[in-house]
Amino acid sequence: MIVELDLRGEVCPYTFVKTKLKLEELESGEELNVILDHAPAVDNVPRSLKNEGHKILEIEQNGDHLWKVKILKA
Amino acid sequence: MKLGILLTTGPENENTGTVIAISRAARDKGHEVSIFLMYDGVYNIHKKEFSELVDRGVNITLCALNATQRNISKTEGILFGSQYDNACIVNEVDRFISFG
Repeated sequence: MIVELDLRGEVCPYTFVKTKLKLEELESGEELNVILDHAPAVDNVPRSLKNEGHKILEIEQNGDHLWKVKILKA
Repeated sequence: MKLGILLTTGPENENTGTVIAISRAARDKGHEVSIFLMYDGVYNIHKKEFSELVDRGVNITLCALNATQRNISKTEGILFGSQYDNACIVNEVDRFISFG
């Protein structure tokens, strides 16, 4: 099952905090897609999640200021 | 020893001189130094004596959000990070000093 989390309008550190809280609701191996429109978060959220052991499947850019980060929970 | 430093004031504040001096002294004694910059502290990367700390092996990370808010562009050797990185520094070091 793929869960989607829309974090448009959110900035650091809430982009990471809300992603982490959502991941805690999922089972290991489940996928979470996070939608971001805050450029610094597109670098930091994936790097921080990798540091926590999760896998970044893809970072997809959809327009000038819109990204989707696909995460596989560890 | 691992030393962590948080700096939230700009380069016009005397804190910057103190942080530079402490970092140089710590590195001269072989200690690891990690600095996190936030708020106006991000402006310090424009001060030559401060950014030169990278060449001495000091790890410098700053809050990318605060840098974006202040139109500070990415700089070689300095990690544009987040509060997660600040938390990691606090968690990993032996001593942590905050200048604000």
